[in-house]
Amino acid sequence: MQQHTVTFVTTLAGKAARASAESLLRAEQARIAAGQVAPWRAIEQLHFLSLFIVPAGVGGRPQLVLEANFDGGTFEFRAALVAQCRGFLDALYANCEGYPGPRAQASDARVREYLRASDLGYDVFFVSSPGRSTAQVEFERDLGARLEQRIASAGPVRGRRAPYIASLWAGLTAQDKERIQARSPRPWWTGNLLSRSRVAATLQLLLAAAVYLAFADVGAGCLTRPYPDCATLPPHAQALVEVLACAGIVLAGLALLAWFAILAHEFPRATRPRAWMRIVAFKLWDMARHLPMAVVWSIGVLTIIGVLAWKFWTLIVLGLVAGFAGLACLALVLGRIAAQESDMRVDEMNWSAAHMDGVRALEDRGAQNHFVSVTRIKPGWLRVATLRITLRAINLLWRLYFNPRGLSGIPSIHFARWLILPGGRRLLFVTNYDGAWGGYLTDFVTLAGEWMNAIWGHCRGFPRTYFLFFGGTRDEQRFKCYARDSQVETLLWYRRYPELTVVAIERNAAARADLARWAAKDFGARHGDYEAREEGIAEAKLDAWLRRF
Amino acid sequence: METLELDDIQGMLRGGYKHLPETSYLLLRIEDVVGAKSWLHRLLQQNWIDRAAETYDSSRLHEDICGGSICFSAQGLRALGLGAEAMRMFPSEFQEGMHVPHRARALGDTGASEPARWLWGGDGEVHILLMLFASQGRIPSCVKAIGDIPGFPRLLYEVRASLMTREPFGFADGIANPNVEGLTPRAGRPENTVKPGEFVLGYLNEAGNRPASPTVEVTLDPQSRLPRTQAGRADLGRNGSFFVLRQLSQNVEAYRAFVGNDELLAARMVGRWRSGAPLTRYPAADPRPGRFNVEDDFGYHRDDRNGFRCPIGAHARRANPRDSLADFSGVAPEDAQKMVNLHRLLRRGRVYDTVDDIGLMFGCFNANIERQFEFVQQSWIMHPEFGELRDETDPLLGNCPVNATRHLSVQHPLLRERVSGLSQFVTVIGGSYFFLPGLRALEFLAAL
Repeated sequence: MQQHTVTFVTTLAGKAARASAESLLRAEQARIAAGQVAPWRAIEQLHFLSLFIVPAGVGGRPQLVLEANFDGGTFEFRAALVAQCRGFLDALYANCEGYPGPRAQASDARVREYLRASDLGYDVFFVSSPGRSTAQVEFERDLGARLEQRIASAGPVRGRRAPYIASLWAGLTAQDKERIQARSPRPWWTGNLLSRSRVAATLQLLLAAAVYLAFADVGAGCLTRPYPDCATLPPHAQALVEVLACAGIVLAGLALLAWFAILAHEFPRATRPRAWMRIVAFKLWDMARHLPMAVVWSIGVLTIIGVLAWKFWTLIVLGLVAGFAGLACLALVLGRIAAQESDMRVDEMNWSAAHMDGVRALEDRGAQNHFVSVTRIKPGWLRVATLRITLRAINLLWRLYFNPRGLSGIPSIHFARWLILPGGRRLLFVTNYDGAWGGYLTDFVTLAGEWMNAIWGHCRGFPRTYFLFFGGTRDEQRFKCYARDSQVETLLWYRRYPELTVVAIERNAAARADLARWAAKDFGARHGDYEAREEGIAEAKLDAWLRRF
Repeated sequence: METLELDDIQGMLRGGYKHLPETSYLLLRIEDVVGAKSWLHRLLQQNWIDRAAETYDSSRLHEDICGGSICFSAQGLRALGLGAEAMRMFPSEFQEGMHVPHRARALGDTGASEPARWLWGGDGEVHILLMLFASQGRIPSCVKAIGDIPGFPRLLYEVRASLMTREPFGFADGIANPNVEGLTPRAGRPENTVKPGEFVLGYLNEAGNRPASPTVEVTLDPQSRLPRTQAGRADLGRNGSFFVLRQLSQNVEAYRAFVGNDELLAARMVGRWRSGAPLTRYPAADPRPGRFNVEDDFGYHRDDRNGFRCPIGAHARRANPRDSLADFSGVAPEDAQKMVNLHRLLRRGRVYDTVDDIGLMFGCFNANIERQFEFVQQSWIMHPEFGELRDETDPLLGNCPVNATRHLSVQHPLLRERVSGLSQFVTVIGGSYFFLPGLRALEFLAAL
């Protein structure tokens, strides 16, 4: 099930209201810390939830923020939240402007509507494992522990591994087996749009289209002028058909090359005589699987070629003009930004932020941590505009391209979001991550420094960036100092599985998925090992599976 | 390569005084500020504090000498008169100290190791750490000479330690210290060589930056003792470093009782045989038991990626994973080594041995405590999921409650074996973060 997120931003009614909300949240946090069952636990789809107060900006008032990450739609989440936590919401939001009021005065529907109206969503939303529900996380965790226990009691492996794993499998209940083999639905867009299989499938489809067009072209006689049929077409249509045919032939060549490259890549693994046939059959099946995406891509590519062919020179000239205009704009933007950057003082460091005691009190308890940062966007409309464009672009990139690899390969983020707060002058960042704060920020620097620059480089006090992407986080200590300085204390933090890191969740999931494949006698397919599909499982793969424990 | 100002760097950064076997760690507290400053001034005048330029001067190596290094905790700098404006330029971990509750939690100083039980440092009372290194039998007279200088701060605690060939559990120690370009006297393997900015403030580090250096307003330094930064402030940090000192009490009886005669188990916990021979090279037996073996040219990813030779959770493999991050973070092996080199420690440990206690005075230099010592301790040594392990910490340094035990996974081609029954072998009984200034900065502090 697809995860979603809400960010309810509401305005606190005054100083007294702020103090009252804060003490209420602290009391609730103390209850959670003392191990009492929080009302949030009853909301089964809820992964993480936090509440904090964003201090007043210039001329503004402080705002209360509730953010949550959960499975399924926002409507269902709001309904569950109001149904399970109405009392708490009443007490808390009584301090905020416009709240409909306690149960006696207002129906649940009005509270839901109030929350819906205050939901600002996100500008960038990152999920570490799209589609993995709380139920699945918890099942896989418990399954991992059960298997671990069974392995501990079964003792070491003697002889072949397949019977050993079969005995483990036999020891599971029918219900477990069913859940292990249940397919976990993943949203259609997850996975890398530019994956090898998808590109290959697209090229293959283009090949088919090209062959068809080439035949159609020859049939129409366009390549051999004397035939009269072609002459009946209007001149630009003739040209279009020709160009498409030529493009088709080139693409066909490319597709063949790609096909052979992929086959050659797989070939060393296939050592038995009939292996080639099997690989080709597997590739065809793989191609069919990717057909919908390939159709979309092919239509896109052919349209571009077609339009180019239709008005080639006009488009080239227009493109060049637009390109130069774009470059000039970019140069202007970068020049202006560079001028703003250059007057930063490099010695400015403040490691003595007063709010740190509260922040630290909640930190390093359990496997996970929570980080909220509010930063001020640099002055001028230009910064807000470039920041908005950057956030949109990054959100799209992460959805379509980086998704299966995490946030640029950072292995410790459960959920993260960026959001420009109302008024357009402040940027909110919220994340649920694993391990030490310092290590997490070090990962930001070493693995995703340029992305962080592209975003936070638009904010005041961030170490100097060059051309939006460079510099910045490379000055690691100043970046960390800045991040700490911008941190907002989390007043209440609920997490459903506080002991699990992303790595542990992924490991449990992989153990379950491999076991499911083993049960389906499909273990080798995932690893590109066509031999193993017939023989059950290669022993080496079983070893890899056993080493997960 | 940058040239280091060895004249301004304290001698201990350059080497561990291997020719001076005796040590005294004097933990001091400033009560009379004026007196303490004049004491510091005389200490400098009488050349008690070594300069790196002289430490390895061959003419001095055979002298009957006594060398010293001095460093200050954040409380110590405040006591000397550095104001809030100057202190905020120091990294927060140094300002707060090692003993504050959230840091103790993060470093794993809990249970028997919690700061409230420490012999020193547990409430941040230590202001100054003076380390004296001397030839055999000279320490008492050195300590007396220093104590006789007028204005000597109150002595809170003294630990006498010595250079021993083996740490108390019986292993050769300190083999894989990094070489520092332009600082350490000998050259080493390129992948074990790091830029000076990893340990000395004011120079380029492995990431190509200069580590954040504390600066003060120029009005505090009218005599221009300190160099100036580009932004026009006085650079207090240049040629200095941060020093982490922890007194680690080692429960030798419990350790011996657990290991027994099983030398292979002992080696698997450490990652090396007692001689220092790496398990990655010699998985079956120590090639030359009883001798010393400082072989260091191996990689875990290169030679033993599954941990079949040296267990993934072994102490040496956790403390310095070399190229093995390539196995679980998806980076290339050479990038993995580069990533690890962002988290190296320059260790300066000595063994203390009193009537009822024995252990290690663990000391290490870092330019960035948070990225170096704290990261190693938190993300590698004490991390329950290091290297995709499950719920285990360092076999030597890990904590566990009284009457409970821990385990160590030993990887095997068939199915990992789990060695259980490990108790807590090492307890932290003292610790603090210190700032070790350059010589000019010391003069500045004495004149503050």
